[in-house]
Amino acid sequence: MRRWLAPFLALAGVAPVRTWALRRALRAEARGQLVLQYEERGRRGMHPDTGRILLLVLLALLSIGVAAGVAFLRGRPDLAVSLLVFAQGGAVLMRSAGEVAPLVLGSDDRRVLGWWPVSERELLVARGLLILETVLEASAAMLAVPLVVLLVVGAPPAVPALGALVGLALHAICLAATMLLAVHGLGRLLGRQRARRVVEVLGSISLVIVINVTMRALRPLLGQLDGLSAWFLVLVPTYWFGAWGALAQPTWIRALAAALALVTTAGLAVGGVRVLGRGREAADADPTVRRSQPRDWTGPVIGWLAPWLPGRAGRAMALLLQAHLREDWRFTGALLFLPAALLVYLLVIRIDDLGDLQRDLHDVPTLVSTFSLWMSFLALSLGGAITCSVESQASWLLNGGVLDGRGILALQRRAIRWLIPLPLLVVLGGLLMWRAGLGPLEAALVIVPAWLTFESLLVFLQATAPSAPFSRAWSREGQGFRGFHLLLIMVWPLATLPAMLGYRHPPWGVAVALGGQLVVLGLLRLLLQWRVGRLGVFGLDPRP
Amino acid sequence: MLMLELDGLTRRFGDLTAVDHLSLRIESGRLVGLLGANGAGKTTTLSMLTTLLAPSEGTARVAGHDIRTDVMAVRRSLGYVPEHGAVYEGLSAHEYLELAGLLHDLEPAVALRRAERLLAHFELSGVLDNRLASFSKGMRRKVLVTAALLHDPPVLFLDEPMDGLDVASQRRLADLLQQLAREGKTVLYSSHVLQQVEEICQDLVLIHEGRLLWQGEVAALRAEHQGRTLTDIFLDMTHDAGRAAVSWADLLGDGR
Repeated sequence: MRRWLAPFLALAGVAPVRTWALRRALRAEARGQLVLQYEERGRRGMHPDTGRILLLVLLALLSIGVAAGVAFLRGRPDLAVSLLVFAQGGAVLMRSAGEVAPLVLGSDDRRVLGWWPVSERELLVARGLLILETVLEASAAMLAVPLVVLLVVGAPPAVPALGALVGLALHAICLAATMLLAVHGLGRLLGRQRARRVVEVLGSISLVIVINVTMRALRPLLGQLDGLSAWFLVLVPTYWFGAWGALAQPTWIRALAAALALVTTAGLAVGGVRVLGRGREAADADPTVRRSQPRDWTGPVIGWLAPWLPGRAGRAMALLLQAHLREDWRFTGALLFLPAALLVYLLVIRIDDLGDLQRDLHDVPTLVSTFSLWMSFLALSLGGAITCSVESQASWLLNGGVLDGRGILALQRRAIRWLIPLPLLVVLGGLLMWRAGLGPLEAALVIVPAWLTFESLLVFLQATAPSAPFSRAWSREGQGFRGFHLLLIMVWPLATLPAMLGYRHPPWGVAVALGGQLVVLGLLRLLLQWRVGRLGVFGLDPRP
Repeated sequence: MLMLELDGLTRRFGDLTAVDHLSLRIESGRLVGLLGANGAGKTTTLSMLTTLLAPSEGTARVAGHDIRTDVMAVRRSLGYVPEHGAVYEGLSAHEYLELAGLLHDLEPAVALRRAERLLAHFELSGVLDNRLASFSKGMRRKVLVTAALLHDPPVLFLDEPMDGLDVASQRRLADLLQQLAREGKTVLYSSHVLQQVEEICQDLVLIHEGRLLWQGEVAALRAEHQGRTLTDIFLDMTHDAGRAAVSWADLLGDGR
């Protein structure tokens, strides 16, 4: 493999032997960090290798849907291959989102390698190779079954699949290079610490966009795809990679698209590395030089929460939350801002576009599921941000404190609950009565399932989070955990389906739906109590 | 009064035994140096004594409380300065010390008053409202020492407490520790800097590869090995003294 890659590495302007050794070291270090954290937890929970394999199995399971799509499009290999490219993009983004940023922005490479004879470009390429491995692994899990289906049902059989293999390989390289260069470029531009914050915010915003906007926008777009001219297709980058297996289009269109794919891949992989690999990253500001105090916005937030955080432990929780908000304010701030922005979007900007709004407001089950989805997002993102916070190194102080573990978990739930989700639901209830003319009972019936969803996920998060309150750093493990949450956000709405269906058959259906949610919440609380009783509270009790 | 009592304290990490059936007793009012080479098991021992880490075998009592069964009482009885003591950088020194006080049942007003006086002692007045992110290593160390002393614990564990401190601050801290011992507190001072330990501590606990090598007064150790430096004694006890000098060419192993 190394020998095969050597000419390309030389073309990128790096020494192949040194770069390959760096790649191997980075890989070992990345795995070593995860295994170390696992061992520090007393080998409890899931081994990192098991987690990785489980994620790949999950991707393989998801690929069955893609394979069904490919079979459905058997008369249109161009669309089938485009579907594969989309699926690959999704899998790669999901898999590498948690890898690239910690690798580029969270690592201590500069501290460890800063004085070694290793160029910036060699480090960049070594990281690129590592990301490419991750990307190819995820692609293989996601595409193996659909490619076999395409191999059989392609028209003519096998030809589109073989073309797609080339296109998908280029796409994988392109995606890996784009993600790496984008994050690296950001780090160069802003410095690692600032770039880290920006990536966190972008990550959270893109999540909401994917869930709330893009999916809706894609539906009509896909419907119009058949009507697009061949010329227009060439403007869509995704098509460049899909064109390798697309046989329905004229040859010159395919040739042009394929050429664009090749040029883009080569340009990004080689050109990007040559350009961005020059010089050094922007240095992070020396913390000891900064003497002026940054502006503090956390006072009013803590003041708002004070009534719900009483006593000595409550004050300690408030201080911990304050430390977290100041350290991680962009991410958490974005999470606090987004629900408000969505609310404004739904109720103000779209006020004239009564189509969806009126339909939503008169279709209570749809509203229930929409609000529940928002709440699951809030529970996992806001809850995740706070439980998997940035303060890991400092948590020894908490660990040595005289605090009741169950009490601190209850206080943490209260802090997260009152930070925004509960006030937001109250406002939503008011708006439902004011704008949609729902009665108080009807409004409550919409709000309560969303609240129960939020509570359930919050308890689930505490029962499964591998960390103490405010204790998880920007780490690979933390990222992996967020990836797990991301999957959960996608899966959880399915769990609210019974509630949605029950709402179509009042009053018994509603009673059963709410009762079911209460039972789930109760079971999750039992799980949390069992876990705390058996293992203690992560980070508060002695490490096993 | 017996303040520290270790009974066969053991900690294993997989196949590695970091602390191996360590047993010792320390009375109140003693300033004890915990000495050992890198990887001898000093920090692991302190992690167990401070309830950060559960022992694999054996137990210990801190101020009469068992570290296995009475975790909260142990935590109430001790102050701790860890070797790599990271702080919540988003908090000001004032807020951090208030938090440290709250975590040990201390009223915020009392914590603040004590913090001001202790920080003044370490010549760190006027920075209570500054965020810890802007503090240098030595300044953070002073805050950590202050946090460990705030609740006036009967037992103090310090892991390389002088690291990052300037000479004057080192002297101030050493004097304070000796004064605390005179007032009846038990101080376990972990370090690999022999000269510091020799200068500050009354007693020594010497561990090697997780096992107890020697425990007693510094003066007694000197008397046992008359005319020798503590460094020589240490190397002798850890079997490092007899190691023959090696030439540079042998080290490179390329036959020069």
